[in-house]
Amino acid sequence: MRKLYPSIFVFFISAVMNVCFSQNKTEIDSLYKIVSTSKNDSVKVMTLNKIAFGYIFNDINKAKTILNQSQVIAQKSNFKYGLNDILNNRGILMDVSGISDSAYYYFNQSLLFGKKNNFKKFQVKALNNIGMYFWNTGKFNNALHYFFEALKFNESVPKVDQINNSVCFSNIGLIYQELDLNNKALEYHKKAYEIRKKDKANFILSTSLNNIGICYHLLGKNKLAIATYKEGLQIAKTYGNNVDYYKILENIGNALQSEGEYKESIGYYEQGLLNPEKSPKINLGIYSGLVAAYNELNKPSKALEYAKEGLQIVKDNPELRNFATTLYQYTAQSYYMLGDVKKGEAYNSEFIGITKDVFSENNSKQIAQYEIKYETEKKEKLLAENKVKLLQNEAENKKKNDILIAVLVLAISLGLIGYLIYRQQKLKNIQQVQEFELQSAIAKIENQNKLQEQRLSISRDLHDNIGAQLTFIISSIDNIKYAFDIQNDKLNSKLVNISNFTRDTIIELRDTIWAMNSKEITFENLQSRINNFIEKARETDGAIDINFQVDKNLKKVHFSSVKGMNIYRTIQEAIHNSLKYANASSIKILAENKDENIKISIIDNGKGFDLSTTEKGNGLQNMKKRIEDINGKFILNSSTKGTIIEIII
Amino acid sequence: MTYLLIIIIVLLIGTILFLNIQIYNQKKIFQNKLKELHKIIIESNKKHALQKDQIYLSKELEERIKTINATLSNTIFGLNFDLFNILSENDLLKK
Repeated sequence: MRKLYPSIFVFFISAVMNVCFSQNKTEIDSLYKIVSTSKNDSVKVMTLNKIAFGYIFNDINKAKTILNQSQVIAQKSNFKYGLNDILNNRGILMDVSGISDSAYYYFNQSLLFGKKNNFKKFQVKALNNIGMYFWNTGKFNNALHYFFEALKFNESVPKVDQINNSVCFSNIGLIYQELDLNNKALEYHKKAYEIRKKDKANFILSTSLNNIGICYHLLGKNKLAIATYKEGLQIAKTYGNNVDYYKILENIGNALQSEGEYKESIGYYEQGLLNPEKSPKINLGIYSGLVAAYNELNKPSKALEYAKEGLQIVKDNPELRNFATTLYQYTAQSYYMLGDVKKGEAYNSEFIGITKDVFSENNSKQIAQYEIKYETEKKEKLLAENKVKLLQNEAENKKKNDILIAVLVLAISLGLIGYLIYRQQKLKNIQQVQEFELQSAIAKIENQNKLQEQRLSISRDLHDNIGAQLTFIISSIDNIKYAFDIQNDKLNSKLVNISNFTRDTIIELRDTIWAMNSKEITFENLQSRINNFIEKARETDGAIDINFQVDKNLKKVHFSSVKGMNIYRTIQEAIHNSLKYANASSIKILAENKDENIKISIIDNGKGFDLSTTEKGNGLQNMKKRIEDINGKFILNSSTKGTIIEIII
Repeated sequence: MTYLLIIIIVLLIGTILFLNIQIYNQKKIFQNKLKELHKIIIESNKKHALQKDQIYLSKELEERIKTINATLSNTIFGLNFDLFNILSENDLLKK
């Protein structure tokens, strides 16, 4: 099968190209106007670059002049982005001019400059263009490496710096074509075609159609290939893509040959030779096609005319040797047909040598490795993107959770505040109620106290009056006794009785008033009072021995006035009984601590009495009652040897 | 949004603390008040008990005075009776 020539658009990198290639005179004028009117050097440089790019494919010299002019302005204003663009355009210009080494130099410069200044877009362009350089020079491994690098790098940079991926896909497809991996090639060209169609990149749509057509052709689907070519030819003509137009003409010729339509193919080839640009590469293909066609039409001499033209191109452009396989093959065929076996063999050997060089096992392996590398990196990138998305989702969820937690805390806080305010009010109410109750109780107690105070006040007045009256009685009786010499014993005795009774009453009254006026009564007070009473008793009966002993620890013990008074009265009554009824000569009063209680014992050595037969008189009853009133215990023991009264408090 | 929520939460927590402190202070003030009132009640009760004792003693004395009064009245009556008898016997009564 003959070598087919695909469309290679190393330069078709962005929408800019569309503009450039579709520039008409008016547009160029308007661009020049921008250059002349703009005061901004950046705008001037980029506009001049745009104009120069348009001229690269039509007027190389003019393109060079404009690029020089642009470079002067860019260097003057130190506009690095513009300088990078100029380097790239110069590479393209050299490539179009066929000066491949210079093209490679400029593309490398563009790549380094882009890396240094972090112009990602130019790095992608440079990688792609270097790939194109290797492709143009037949170094397909290197070309594929750079194309995959360009694709990888392009996908890693921000959208704004990306070139259209269709360029990379298209170029990779082309390399696969070169390596006869046509199904793969078709896959990549279709990818490129879809992107371009979607982007409405009509100018380069014909490029993709041409490449797809080639793949079909190489896969033996000639009719499909011819239909695709014709569609591409029409688009190329409509949008003025001359490069594609002439390439497609050649490729239609090749496809027609494959279908056996040799005569018809010659027409397309001859149209292809009308290409004003006279691209050596395209013409090489056309000449190959014409040689093949004339061989098939059994016109080897005519074929050799075209073969010589083609071989001259190879001679003039040694870097195109790898593209001349079919030319060598068909030239050998022509010579064989003419009977010149020697020359035929020579060209055939050349054909075999080139084929071996182009496609080797190593190439295949390396290519496969590149593809695997690209696919792996693509998957890794996809994984990384998914990871980023996952992290973003996680961050979003975390944010949502945080907000939810915050809202919950807010709600709980508000609830808590509400509860606290309610609690505060409730507490206030409870406190007010408690305070009111306490104050009421205090008021009630104070009222009672006041009432009691009044009653006591009245009682005191009464006691004072009684005291005064009793004193008056005593005084009156004493006066009567001393003023009148009363001889009547009975009368005299009665007066003495009244006087004594009244005196006793006054003592009793004083004792009570003393108790009433005392807040508390200590044992010491009690002892002192009882001692007074004992002294008086001694005055009555001097022979009696009365002994009163108080435990030292009890001296500071104190009682309430009632308790003290009851104890005092009980002891008083007991002594009184011993003196009056028991005829005792000795009375002992002992006050001591016993089992955390106070024990007061009144012991006499009188005649005693029989507890079972003697009815307790008012005195004993009173004593018992008084002690029981103060929660004490009253124990009475009596025998002929004496009486013991024990009071336990 | 997050910052606003944080500020609101901090303010609310501040309010909660403020309310808690206020409740604590309120309780403390009330406890002190109660102590004072209890003291007053204790004092009043003591006074009341003392007065109760005094009244008890006073009542007892009154009872005793009643008895003494009766005894004294009888004795004086007896004295007067004897005196009148003597006067009558000696014909010293006014006619």
